[in-house]
Amino acid sequence: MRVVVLVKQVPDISSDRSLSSDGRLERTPTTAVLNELDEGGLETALRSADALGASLVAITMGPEQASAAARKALQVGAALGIHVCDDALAGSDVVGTARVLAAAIRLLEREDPQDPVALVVAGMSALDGLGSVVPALVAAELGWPIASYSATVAIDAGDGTLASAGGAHATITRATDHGSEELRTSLPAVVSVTDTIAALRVPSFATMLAARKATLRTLTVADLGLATDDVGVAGARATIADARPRPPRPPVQVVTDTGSAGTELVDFLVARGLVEVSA
Amino acid sequence: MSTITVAVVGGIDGIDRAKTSALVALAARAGDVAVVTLEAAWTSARQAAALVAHLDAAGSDTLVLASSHRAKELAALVAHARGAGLVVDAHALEREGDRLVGHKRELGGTWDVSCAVVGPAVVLAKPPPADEVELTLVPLPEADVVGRDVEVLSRTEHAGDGRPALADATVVVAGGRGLEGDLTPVQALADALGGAVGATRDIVEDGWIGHETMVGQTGTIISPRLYIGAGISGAPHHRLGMQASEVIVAINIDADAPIMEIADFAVVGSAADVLLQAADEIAARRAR
Ligand SMILES: Cc1cc2nc3c(=O)[nH]c(=O)nc-3n(C[C@H](O)[C@H](O)[C@H](O)COP(=O)(O)OP(=O)(O)OC[C@H]3O[C@@H](n4cnc5c(N)ncnc54)[C@H](O)[C@@H]3O)c2cc1C
Repeated sequence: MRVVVLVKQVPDISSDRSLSSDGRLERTPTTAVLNELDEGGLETALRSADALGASLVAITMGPEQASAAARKALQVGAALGIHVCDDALAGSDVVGTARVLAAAIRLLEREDPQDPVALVVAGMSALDGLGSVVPALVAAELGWPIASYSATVAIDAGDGTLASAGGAHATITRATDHGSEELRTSLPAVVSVTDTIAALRVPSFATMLAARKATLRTLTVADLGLATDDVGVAGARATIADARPRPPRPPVQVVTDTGSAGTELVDFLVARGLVEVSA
Repeated sequence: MSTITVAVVGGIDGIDRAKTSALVALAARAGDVAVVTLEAAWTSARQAAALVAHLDAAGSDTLVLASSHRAKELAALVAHARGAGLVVDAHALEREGDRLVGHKRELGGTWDVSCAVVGPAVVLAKPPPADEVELTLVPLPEADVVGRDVEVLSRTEHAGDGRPALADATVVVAGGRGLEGDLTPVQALADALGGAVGATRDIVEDGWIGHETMVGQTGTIISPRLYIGAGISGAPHHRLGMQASEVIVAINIDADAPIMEIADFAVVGSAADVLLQAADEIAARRAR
């Protein structure tokens, strides 16, 4: 059995980030980091793989330098890293991205039907787009249940079978718009996890050594059995029509409190029409 | 041109009329609108099945949902089933010829981006507040989910605090570690302004206040008319969630705290003192 973790490299949120005129994120290798929100996903995937007696495969999609995200997974114990890298992928929308990731998962299953994928784990969102929809789109592509924004994930291996009543299950808790809920799903399934679910372990000497020997498998769109016009700009249903930086904020007005700053704040709010104080 | 379907969760009785009106106002800029309701008790897959059946039968090409964590799951499932383009977190919508264009903010509110879809579309919307309108609501019948689905074991609802929800509030007063454990001053000014209470992740983690108040990239991303941040340093994670606010006020004892740089009005001072004085001042002026 295998567990898949989806990881992504993104620009550091404390760096100066910008978009190109066609709305694509400018990616400079020096400020690129593993999406911080994938760390909880990676740890959850490692623990789930343990509970299932499964091996972990990390999948990433992105330009050449993006393989660092999959390498990071290898350093903490993933058995295999897959990097889908192809010029045709540029300009992919969320639907296209999910199509590629799901195709990579299907390829794994096709190549080795004896070793099915039991679980796909992702972070709750990527810090560049913050869309949070890719995990659910991957689930829809695969026809598997989705539990996004999971705050806890508990795995029960059951009798070791998949997609059956007595087989492997996951129990999930998560916040809803107005409270919280507990869900249970048979596996295979897709889960996305919040950033507070678990801290990522420190790589051990053994996993670091294994990572150095492990190969990163690079796949093209054709390897996945997809046509180039299924992905990238050609396959995108949503395209960026325009992107421009917002005008800078006006200079800040600073008041140092000498006992009346609260009153001065109210003056400011009244002047801006942000509070009604008279009838 | 086909009708735009606005779908809201909560059945006929449980829907938020102000928020639904805002969604309708946003959608109406791009075409004729019909509003349908979904049961909150259904799983996302069940809600999606009901919506897909409805959209197919009604020949409606565009679906608009209020953006939330749950709605993102629903939007993805419907978009996949209908081969639709997905626009995430649009604050305005318009029709340009055969294109539906959604306007959104990116990179922590620092960029304006417009996103175009030709053909079927699913839009997750963050509409600005609008006047309440008369609503005709059509409840959708339950539909069967194809394939396996999650099973709901239990659900709990928070008792609301009577204040507006963070995601929809036009005013948010947020507190951080600088409140030193006592959020009464934040609540006092929020109530004086009719606003929602927000918080940083650190004070939520420390249990000073509930998780539903967390503002930020992993909490709720907000863009109210007025955001007041007191005793908050302005870490990138927090800024990503509030930087798109129209007017930003910061109160901090440290004049060099990062949040002071993005503020319109910055007070160097003790958070509790300034908040309480402002709340009292508003009450006093109203009593005059
Ligand atoms: C993966 C990840 C995701 C995260 N997501 C979020 C998120 O979504 N939202 C979020 O908020 N955080 C998030 N964080 C945490 C974030 O990085 C910061 O740690 C957090 O926002 C800081 O909270 P704070 O401003 O309350 O505390 P601090 O950073 O400790 O700041 C306290 C501020 O209070 C000031 N102060 C102290 N005493 C007073 C006083 N008496 N009066 C006035 N000012 C005073 C100090 O000068 C300081 O600026 C995340 C972190 C990680 C790692």
